[in-house]
Amino acid sequence: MYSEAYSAVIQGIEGCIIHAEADVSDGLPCFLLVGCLSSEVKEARERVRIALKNSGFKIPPKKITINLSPAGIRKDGTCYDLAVAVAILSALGIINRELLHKAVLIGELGFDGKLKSVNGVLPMVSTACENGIRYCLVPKDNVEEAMFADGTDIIGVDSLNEAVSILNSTHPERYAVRAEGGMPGKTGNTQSTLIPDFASITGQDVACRAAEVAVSGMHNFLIIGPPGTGKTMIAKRIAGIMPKMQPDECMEVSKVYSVSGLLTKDMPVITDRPYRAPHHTVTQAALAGGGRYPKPGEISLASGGVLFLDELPEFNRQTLEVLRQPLEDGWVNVSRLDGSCRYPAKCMLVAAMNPCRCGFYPDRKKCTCTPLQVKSYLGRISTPLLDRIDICTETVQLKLNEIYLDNDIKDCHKKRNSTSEEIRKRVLQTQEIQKDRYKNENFSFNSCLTPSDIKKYCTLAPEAKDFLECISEGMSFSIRAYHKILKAGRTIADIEQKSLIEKSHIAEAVCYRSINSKYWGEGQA
Amino acid sequence: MELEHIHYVYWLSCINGIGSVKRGRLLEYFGSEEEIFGASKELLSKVRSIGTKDIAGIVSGRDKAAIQESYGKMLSKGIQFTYKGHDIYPEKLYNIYNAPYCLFYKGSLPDNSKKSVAVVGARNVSYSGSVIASQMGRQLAENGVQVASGLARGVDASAQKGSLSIAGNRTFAVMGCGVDICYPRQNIETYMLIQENGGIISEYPPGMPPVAGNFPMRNRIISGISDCILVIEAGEKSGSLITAAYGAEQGKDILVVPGDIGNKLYYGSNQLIKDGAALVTNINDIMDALGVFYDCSIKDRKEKINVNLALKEKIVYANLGLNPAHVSEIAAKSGLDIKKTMEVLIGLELKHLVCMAGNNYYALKI
Repeated sequence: MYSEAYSAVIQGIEGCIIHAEADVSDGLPCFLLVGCLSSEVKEARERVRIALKNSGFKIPPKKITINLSPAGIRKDGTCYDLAVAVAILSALGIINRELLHKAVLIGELGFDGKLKSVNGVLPMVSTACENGIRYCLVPKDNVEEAMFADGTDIIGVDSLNEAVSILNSTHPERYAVRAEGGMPGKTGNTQSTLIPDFASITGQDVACRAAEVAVSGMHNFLIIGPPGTGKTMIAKRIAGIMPKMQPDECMEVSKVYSVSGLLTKDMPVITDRPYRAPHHTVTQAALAGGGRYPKPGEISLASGGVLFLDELPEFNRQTLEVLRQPLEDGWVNVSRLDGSCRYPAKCMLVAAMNPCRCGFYPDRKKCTCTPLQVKSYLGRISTPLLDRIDICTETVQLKLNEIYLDNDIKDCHKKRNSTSEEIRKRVLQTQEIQKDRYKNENFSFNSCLTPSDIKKYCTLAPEAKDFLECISEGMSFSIRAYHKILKAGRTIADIEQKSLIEKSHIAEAVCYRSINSKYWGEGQA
Repeated sequence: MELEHIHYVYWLSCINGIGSVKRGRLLEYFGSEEEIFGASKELLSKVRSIGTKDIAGIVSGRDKAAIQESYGKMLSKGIQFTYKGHDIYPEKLYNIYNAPYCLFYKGSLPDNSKKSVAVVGARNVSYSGSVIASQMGRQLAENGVQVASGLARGVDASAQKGSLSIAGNRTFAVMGCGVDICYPRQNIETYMLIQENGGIISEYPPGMPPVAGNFPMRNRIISGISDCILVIEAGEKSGSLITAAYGAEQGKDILVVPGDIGNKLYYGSNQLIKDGAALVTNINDIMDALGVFYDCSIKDRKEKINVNLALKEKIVYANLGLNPAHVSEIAAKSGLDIKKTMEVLIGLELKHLVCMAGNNYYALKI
């Protein structure tokens, strides 16, 4: 008496169909589970046995062997319980085998036979779709998440008995959950209500504008400023001015969250661009992904959105170094003994820092640091990481009257910052220009330009060319600084919908160049 | 082989553990360096505060050939030596209390026929302080006045750099370590230039590390070789106040550049003015104090430049000060948008009229 049922395993953020093969034969009564299992899967034996008993099924005193195949893939997690139980019942002839080749079964069993929610349902279900599976039986709590994958009938199951009756029915599609009123994220009518608005920032025009430029070209962004001047405020709002996520982006990000177990009933899929702000004590594995059984790190959880590193110099140097390759490639490969996984890392890096240890340099009235201290503080950030940051800006201390001026409507002659909605429209327009220009390339943003691409795409107006030459000589820019200015200049020109980069664009881009040790600590006559 | 007097002085000044106090006691007891050289251990032990270690140091170094060799080595390194009573010893130093017993120097000693001014001030200097120091150093040099200072970070280095910018003028750095050691290391460029255009001076033998205790003492030499002391940006506990105190004790004029009363960087400076120091706002005040005839037309660079500037450049230039301001503040003050302000500032920087004192922080350049 042999039978099999399908379930799925997670590898990275992709699923893989596995077969739960059950064999019930004569011999010494026992219950064996094999197939490269982690301890929580081995424990499934006890859970399944007791769940079967408490659901009213009688297990005959026979030799029951279950193999999770392919046996070469390591299996962990608790999502195979349902498939194992169903395979046994089918081998015993209690469940009709007909449907089992059309269904993937996911879920953890409790002793009472109830089905519990598991992590990673979304990638498993979407793999099932790709493999042409018709039905997916998932725990009731995971239904919303599973619904996001197209092409298969999702059946929410509450208990083992319910699963048995569904699998034995002639019309299982009747149990399938139908989406009502469209899925969030697919219809594109989501509101980023949780992300605060740019309009609530007073002053800091330079930094706000720099943020807009950075997002427009998806440049990595560094904010420097004294404590309490709004660096974090700006960073929190950046995700809100990015164009809304496309369904395929939503899918990718949701898969990462699904694997990490961060999807809830209230938030079954990720539709807002993520904002992740790991504390500076974060470890390498937590930032880039890792662990013995790899899990996505913060950089992957921030994929499609913003990874904010506050107090950048406080981060462990080695920890920051791991960001270098993922930021370049948009992917992070985590290789471990049991295989390697690839997680997305298409995030925009936003970092914030104080200009010196006390935070007030170059205001000597407040700053007590020696030039050497200022230098060593800046020296804590590795140059390779700084090289990946195209746009850098400063926030300045506001005077009290500047803070309250805007709140008083009568005195509101000062210009108000744009709302996030307005900025987002401009950003979208700028990004469309870039996508159109780079339609024949394998990238779509100005930040991805390589030196040879810069030659090709960053054409300067004659006046701007002379100006830039003059500046780079006068200020002795390195080649890299020169390239960064051209990249930022390209984005600024795109915002103004100009095909040539003009003098004013270059002037603004120069303003956003990265910190240079020459101008810190030694800015004296 | 017989030693000259200078060799005996050199020998005495280089004995490890014998500082100015013990040396004074030895000289008082024996009368001359030669006597100390020949004195027996018993006699040496009778001198107050001379211990067995010191005696061992004195006795072990009594090798005439070795002394001559080491003296020759020092000379070949470009380090020269003079002592109290020597004909090239700076005359002004005879007038101060606790005049240095001897001086090691690289380059030359101050020219006694020329006036010299000590410029001292904060190490953690603000942009404006360093600009003023550099300007004063330059203008003093333009008027043929020698500048003495301590080659420390901040005001000292700025003033000496300013002085070096005028060819033919000499500036002197009095060190708190051996003259063969450049401290702080970052001023190596100035250190090298001073050797050719003035001198590096120290009362400590070559190889003496920069020990904190040596620095207040060297200040008396800075003030000693100068005719007056100019203090720029001294905080509450600034070392420049020690130099000023030595200067006052030595009867030198104390000149002070005043500062904002609310600014703690100027607390010491303002305190000096309160105590009766002369207030200085330009080079003429210093020249008056020195009592030298000077060319009274101070070149006003500002007005000259403004003629050649475009309107927007003039507006932005007018809104700049000596305190670095961020581009956004300058833009707000001049009523231009940030992009335009940035463009104008870069233009002004290329014309060497403004200076970037931090990322996107601009200040006037003098």
